[in-house]
Amino acid sequence: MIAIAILAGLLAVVVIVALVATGIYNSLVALRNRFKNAYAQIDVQLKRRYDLIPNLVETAKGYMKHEHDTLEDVIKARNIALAASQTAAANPADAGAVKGLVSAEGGLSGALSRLMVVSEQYPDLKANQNMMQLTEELTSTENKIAFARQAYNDSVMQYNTARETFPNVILAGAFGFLPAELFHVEDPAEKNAPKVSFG
Amino acid sequence: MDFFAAEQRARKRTTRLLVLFGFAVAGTIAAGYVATVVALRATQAHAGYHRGFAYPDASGDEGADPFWRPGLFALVSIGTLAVIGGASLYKWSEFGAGGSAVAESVGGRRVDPHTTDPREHQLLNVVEEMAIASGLPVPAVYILDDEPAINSFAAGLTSSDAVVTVTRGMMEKLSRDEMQGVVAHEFSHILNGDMRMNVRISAIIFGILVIGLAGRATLWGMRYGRIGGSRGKGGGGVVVVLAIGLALLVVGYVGYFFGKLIQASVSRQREFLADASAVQFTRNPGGVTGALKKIGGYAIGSTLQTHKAAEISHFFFAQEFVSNFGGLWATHPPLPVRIRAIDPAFDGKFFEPREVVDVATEPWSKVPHMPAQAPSPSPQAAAAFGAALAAAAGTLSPEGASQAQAMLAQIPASLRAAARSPHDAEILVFGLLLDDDEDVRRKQLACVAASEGGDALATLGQLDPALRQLRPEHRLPLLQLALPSLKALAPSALGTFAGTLDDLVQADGRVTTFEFALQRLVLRELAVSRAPSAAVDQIFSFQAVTREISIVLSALAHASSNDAGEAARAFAEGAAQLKLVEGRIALLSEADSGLVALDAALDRLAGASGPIKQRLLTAGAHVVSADGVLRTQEAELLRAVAASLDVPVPPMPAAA
Repeated sequence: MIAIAILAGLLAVVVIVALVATGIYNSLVALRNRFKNAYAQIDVQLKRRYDLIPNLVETAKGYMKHEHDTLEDVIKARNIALAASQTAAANPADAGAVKGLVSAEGGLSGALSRLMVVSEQYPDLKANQNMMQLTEELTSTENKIAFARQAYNDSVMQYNTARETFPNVILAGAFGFLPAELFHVEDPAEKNAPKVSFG
Repeated sequence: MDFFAAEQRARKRTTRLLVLFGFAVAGTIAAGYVATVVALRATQAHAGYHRGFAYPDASGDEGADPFWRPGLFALVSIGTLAVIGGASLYKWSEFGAGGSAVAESVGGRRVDPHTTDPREHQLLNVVEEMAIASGLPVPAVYILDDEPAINSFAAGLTSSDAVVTVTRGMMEKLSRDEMQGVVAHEFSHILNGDMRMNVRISAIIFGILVIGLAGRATLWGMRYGRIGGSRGKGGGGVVVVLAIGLALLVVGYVGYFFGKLIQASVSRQREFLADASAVQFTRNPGGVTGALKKIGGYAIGSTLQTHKAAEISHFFFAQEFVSNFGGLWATHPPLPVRIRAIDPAFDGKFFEPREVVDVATEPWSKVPHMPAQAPSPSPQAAAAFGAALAAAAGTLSPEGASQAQAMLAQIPASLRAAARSPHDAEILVFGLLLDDDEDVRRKQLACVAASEGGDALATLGQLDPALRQLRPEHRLPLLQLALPSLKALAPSALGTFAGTLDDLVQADGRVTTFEFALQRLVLRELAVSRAPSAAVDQIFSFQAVTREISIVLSALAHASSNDAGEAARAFAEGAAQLKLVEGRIALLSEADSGLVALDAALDRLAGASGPIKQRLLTAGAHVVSADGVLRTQEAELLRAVAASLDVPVPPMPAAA
């Protein structure tokens, strides 16, 4: 009689532990997928920006005849960044390639913001329906890139916190959940806001 | 603000409240059990043969009932939970149709993903951005085209069937950053499963209510049960059933009351959580706080026009109804509290609407809010107007809109600009009321100076030359142009404005048709925008309003002609349109159908049903066009009638 009771008790404990473990495992998987998806989004949005820029320059050309250099710079920076992203995509493990992409992206952002500053002087251009749409698209894409990075970092933080808290920490190692790294902007040029000069 | 800490705090408080809610359900079960035990004891005392009924484990002890009977307790628990569960499933299935069904039920229109409208496109972009920031799939986006308030909600039980819905007012009044903040707030609701949680709580509360309803049904049934029961020895049984019914009633309603109370506080905590998450997603506290300040600043705020939104009021960005009882039932914390939670340095100053009204972007600058009337019509045009009105009252045709636009172009530009600025619109309306008589005018100017100050007088001086040029038939259209700007006034300013308006009208001791029409239009519009539910007592019968109909048609008839015979003929023409009451309405004397009587009649008619208003307006149009001459005076009166009845009328055909 007592043996049966002990057995039943043990069984209950095992079932409860199994349920808790399943719960922990599932929540960690969900969190891991979230930051992976966030990382993929960064890539998607960067590509979208490469596609938008030629249209933008094409529209601006008609109005900004005297700003040929600025437009050229944007196109050049875009081509460099595109090439760098292809190199980085080919060898994702290569830290140098990733670094190159980050610095190329910084250059592109700088060229774009210069273009935006210059375009302020062309009221016709600003009023152009096409240009307004492209500006909105570009703003949105820039936002999306920033938000994707931010979402990646937020979800990495959540994942790491979930991984390190008790009792998850006991099981996380056993299930093979490794700590994740935050996304750092390595190029100091990109951290700096574009300088606006009046002269 | 430390949004991660704020989020955690809100989550912890929610958990606490949910535990409390669990206690409420447990309390319901316990109360049900106590009621059953007491009832059973009573049965035993009254009728011996009831012994043995529902005694799963009272084996050894027959005489003295033990208070604690596990078997009975299990039975009561299962019974209660089954009732709650069944009712909950029913409620759950109501929302199971998905977020899009909810959005459509309140009049939402899905935004086409390939829309060419720049604002809609921007909205879609903002939603996509926030989907990325929160790591959720991109939801469908809906717009409530009929809602000028600033509000928004997310609906959907899971993130995959979620939708985000925004009002037209939000699209028009918020900047891109503020829109982003509001949308981020909604994404937090989706991410945290707030709708799911809320529907679950609502479902359980509904289940508890069903217990109360069952008790009420039992008591109701007793009215007949008594006759059957009194035949045998069942007198005690009746008492027992009565007691059980009463107990269920009390338990159910008390549980319902507290359940609702807890639900409201859970909802408020979730709003704090969503606000904090919105800052987390956008990393820009200015967005959410800006939107909240704008809601606080506009008179219309976040209050929705539709009454269908009550079911889902928990899901909105800001409270969609006006709450009483010190916010006990409020689904959202007060605006200043929410703003301070994000920005502790908030100085309590809401957004001042007048500073941002951008004429170019306001939709009413392109198509007038209400089509206005055209100038000096010819006899044919007047007749055609009657026919057109009869056919088209309550609809707006594209031609009508373009005619109105052409007519608006004839109004001096300075006046149009003034009408569109919330600050100058007030003064423009005063200017419209200025009398030609110099004595009266001086008196009126003194009124304006007293209530609005010297600046107002200066503005009035600038507008004066243009006002003097304004043709009489353009005065009301200009007023209609100014109405949307007046609605943007702060609620406190509206009182002063209405007071000054009254002083100006009364300055010369008499009320002209124009003054009457102006005052009616303004007060009607502003009252509606402040308390949309004011006119709710509906009148569905023509018979109930025959006297009022007589007054309205008589007033129009007298306005249309000075000749008594002509007036009678015009009245008959209109009365013929109302076959149901034709025999019962008669032309009243000019004294009996004066503006005072008309005012009272219109107030009452405002509560009439749509068909009555439509028919009355058609009849009115026939009265004014009976003689083929449309005087400015009668047109003004008709417009005042139409506005009072909330029926938009098409613009008059342009003069031939």
